[in-house]
Amino acid sequence: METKTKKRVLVTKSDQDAHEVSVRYLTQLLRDKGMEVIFTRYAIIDEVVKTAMEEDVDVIAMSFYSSGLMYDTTRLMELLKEQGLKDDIKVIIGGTISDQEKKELLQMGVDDVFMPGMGTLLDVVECVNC
Amino acid sequence: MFNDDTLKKKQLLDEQLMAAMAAMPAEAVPPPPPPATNWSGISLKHSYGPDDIKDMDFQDIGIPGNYPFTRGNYPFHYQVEPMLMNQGYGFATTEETRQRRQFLQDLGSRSQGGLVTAVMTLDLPTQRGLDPDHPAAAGKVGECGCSFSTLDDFSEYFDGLDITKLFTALLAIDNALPINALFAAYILDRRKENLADMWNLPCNLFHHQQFWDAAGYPPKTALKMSTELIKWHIDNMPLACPGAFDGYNLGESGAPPAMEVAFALAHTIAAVEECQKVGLDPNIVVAKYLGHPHVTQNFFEEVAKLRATRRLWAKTFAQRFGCTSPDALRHKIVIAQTAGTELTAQEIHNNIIRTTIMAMAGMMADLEGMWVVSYDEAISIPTEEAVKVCVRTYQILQEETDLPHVTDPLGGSYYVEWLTNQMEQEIVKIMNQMDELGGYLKCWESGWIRGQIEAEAAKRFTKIQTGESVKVGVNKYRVEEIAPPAEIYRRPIEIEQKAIERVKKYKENRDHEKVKAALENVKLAAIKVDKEWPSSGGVLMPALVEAARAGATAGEMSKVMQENLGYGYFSG
Amino acid sequence: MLKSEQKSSADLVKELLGGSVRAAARLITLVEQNDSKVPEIMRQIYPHSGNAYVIGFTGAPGAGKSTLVGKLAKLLDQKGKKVAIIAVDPSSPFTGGALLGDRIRMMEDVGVKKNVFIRSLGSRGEMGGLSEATYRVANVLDAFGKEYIFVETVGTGQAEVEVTKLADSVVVVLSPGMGDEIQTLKAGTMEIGDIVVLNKADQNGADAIASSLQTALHWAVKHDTWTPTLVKTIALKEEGIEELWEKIELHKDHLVNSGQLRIRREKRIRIEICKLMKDKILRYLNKFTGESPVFEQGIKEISIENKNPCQQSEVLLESFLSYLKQGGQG
Repeated sequence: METKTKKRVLVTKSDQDAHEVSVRYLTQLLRDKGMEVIFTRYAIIDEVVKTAMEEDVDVIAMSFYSSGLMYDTTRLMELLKEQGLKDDIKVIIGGTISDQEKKELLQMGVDDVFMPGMGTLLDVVECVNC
Repeated sequence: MFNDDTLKKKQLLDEQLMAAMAAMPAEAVPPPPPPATNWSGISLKHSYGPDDIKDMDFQDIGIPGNYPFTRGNYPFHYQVEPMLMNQGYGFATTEETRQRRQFLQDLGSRSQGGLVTAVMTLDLPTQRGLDPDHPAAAGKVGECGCSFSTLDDFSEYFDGLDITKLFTALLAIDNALPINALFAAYILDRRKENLADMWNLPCNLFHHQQFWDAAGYPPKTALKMSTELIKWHIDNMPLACPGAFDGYNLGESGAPPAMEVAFALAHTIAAVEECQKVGLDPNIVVAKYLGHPHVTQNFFEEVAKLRATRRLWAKTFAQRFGCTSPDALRHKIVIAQTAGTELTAQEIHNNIIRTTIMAMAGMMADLEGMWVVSYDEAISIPTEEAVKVCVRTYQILQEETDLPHVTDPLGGSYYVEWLTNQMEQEIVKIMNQMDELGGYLKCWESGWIRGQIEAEAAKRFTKIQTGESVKVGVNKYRVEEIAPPAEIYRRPIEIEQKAIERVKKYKENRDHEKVKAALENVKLAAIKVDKEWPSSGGVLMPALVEAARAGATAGEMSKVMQENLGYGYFSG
Repeated sequence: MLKSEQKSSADLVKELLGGSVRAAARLITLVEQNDSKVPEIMRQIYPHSGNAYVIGFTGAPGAGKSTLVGKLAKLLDQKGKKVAIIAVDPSSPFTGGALLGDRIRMMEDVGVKKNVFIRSLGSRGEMGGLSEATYRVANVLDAFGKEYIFVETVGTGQAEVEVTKLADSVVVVLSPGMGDEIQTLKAGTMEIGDIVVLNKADQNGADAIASSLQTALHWAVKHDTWTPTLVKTIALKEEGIEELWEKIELHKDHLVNSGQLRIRREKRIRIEICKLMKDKILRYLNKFTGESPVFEQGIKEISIENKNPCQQSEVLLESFLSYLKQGGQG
């Protein structure tokens, strides 16, 4: 039986960050769209890059609520570039993000940023899919 | 509650109204609107009358200050003691935190007994038990609160302050035992003061995995941690209130009001039962609990919920645990918190209106104290301007309005008394449901509680996404804002480096052998707690205090505990 | 899935053999898609496989299987062994999507360990619960140099049976507090488990369950001369993991010494070939019944000429065989 190409998405958040509801919902929506979603919680951001590589994902979607946004994302982008993965993986960041931070994230090479009140999860799914 | 004559009169009026409406031409009569349903799922009529509460036992309403305290814990309350202003705050640097404390004091912010609140939010690594130099702490030190890991940090934050005049609470979550051990060590060794003079709210929030997605202790262990925290404080710091009735985080994570109280009360019961196992008297333990409920804009539902909470608390602890002390039977709601989830990032000044409504609901429910959240909460750590508005909120409500003149002014309202009953019934229904499913602990361990909250959260989330739940300015009446970017608090980057250096230096300048031995004792105590409970109840905290006094860091103590007690993701 | 560098399979295999994690991951993705490129890739992979030892982990959800697998991987890593974990989760039969990796919780133990490779697979429509690509994925990891490959399944009946065909050693993970499930599992356990783990052995009732399991295992029907063993663990506290490893090694030695290992692997190859053949035939059959005018005509004839389905199916089978011979034409 021929298996169609499936989009693989890594949805992840820090295991210190308490917030999770929208992330859970997002994984459900992505799954409903026929994607394979790998959901993990990381202690150190380096784990995310290892997971992304081993799981051969197309998209990394990270969520930040309380803390760690700039540091973790900076390090993620550095490691992705280092490992030669940046061009093959789309990076989407969502959570409690200010306008200034959004600018900086996009400059870093993050593909899309979702902030509170800007767009719905369905928009995020669209973004993942395209 | 009402005599037949009154009820007949009411019925007659209702019938006359129906007849009058039926007699009018169809176009002139508006169709009756569909009944509203409140967030807890209770269906509401358009208006209420004596017939709705005719079967109530007057005793359940009573008078303010009397068991079961439906109408309030005291006969006169705001007439003599304003609602307490228990704002939490926390910054990466001592200077900023002290500045904020001074700022609040200057504005007139007052807590219990006129004390200034020192309810301190801590950064994620501290909550988790990671020292600043731990790799997983990178990028998070001081970011959403204060960083604490050594006695030096305590000196930084508290030296020069009269701690007996502070209403201190360090929201340390999983790290509560080591952090409070350090606090005790600081007072004993560095201040050479008396533990008995200190007000402290060590928070026993070890069951957070029910509603948060951060790593934590296994359920049974969480109850033991809570017991250790409570027992030690009862024995050593009598002014401390180590019991937290946390409804706030349940509500924030999605639980509707009745569910919030059901889960919080069930947890408190389990925690008190665990305390009983190690020989503590419920009369004393229950009196050490303070309420921290969620308060949303569902004004009447919240008022009814809070009244029902007091009533249920009194009845439960009197009937089920045989408590007789009025201090135990009174549920003291000292830090109710206005719901963060009600606030929006768009048109942030609307949040002032929202928090005012929530603060008013708190007052009408006759709470002891609240944490009114700032209008910029949705986008950052509160700025001075926003915090000032919070303080003014309390002050205006207390001193410019007539709200404080009468205790429980809503008492006797048909609707409010009816709804209080309904909320009580709904809460009890959920608690009974848990019993049927095998008990609270089983519901927790299996992930059922988490599942319930997530399901409710998903419902609410969908409602907001579809617009069924209105958020003015966001999903309705929205206009594109060209608002200037709000001032966002960003911690200075050097903070983390400084914190790392400080903890490294601390670890170098101490008696290594002493620390090693002390940590070994912590390990033995943790193993005993794990394997020899409840006979080993009470051994862990003293071992931690000794380790703190020997120079161990919070991270080191936490590591020993986590390794020997289990740590990670449980429940379902 | 367009990748910035479209490498040839030969290049990827070369990099794989050179130790490139990325190449391994890419090849796994390619062999998961059962398309025409796969046989060529596998042709290049096979010569380098056959060294890894496969351990299957199964058992109902909630027993702490993922934690156990994580702790065992951590132990092996500490011993300098190269490990891979394949975690299979069910794909939705309706949308084809899947939520994977939700159970891999002990990232702290193996999250950044270079020598532990973790890959999550969706069952992708396979009724058995193990995607048929799992065999090929294991081969890729084998060629990559992994000495031990753990295959973890959700363990819902069919998947358990599937994993026994793929694995050299099968570990069934149970825990107390699973109520009646223990009873039902006991029935199946005896048939598939080489090693039975009672995890969360510090919970109420653990000793009693361990006792009755031990008895049941003693009386179980044995496939060969190996008696299934019981190990008690508290994975969370890393207790019993060494013991589990010892038992696995004992089983491995037993298989090697008794010649069973060779037999099992041959059986596995046989099963895989049968599966591939079945799959291909099914593919052609679907094509035949979907597109072939001969088939359509045959169906019409049943109603027109009153032929009965049984008879007609024999006729159509003949047509199908010709269809096959002609490479799917006619």
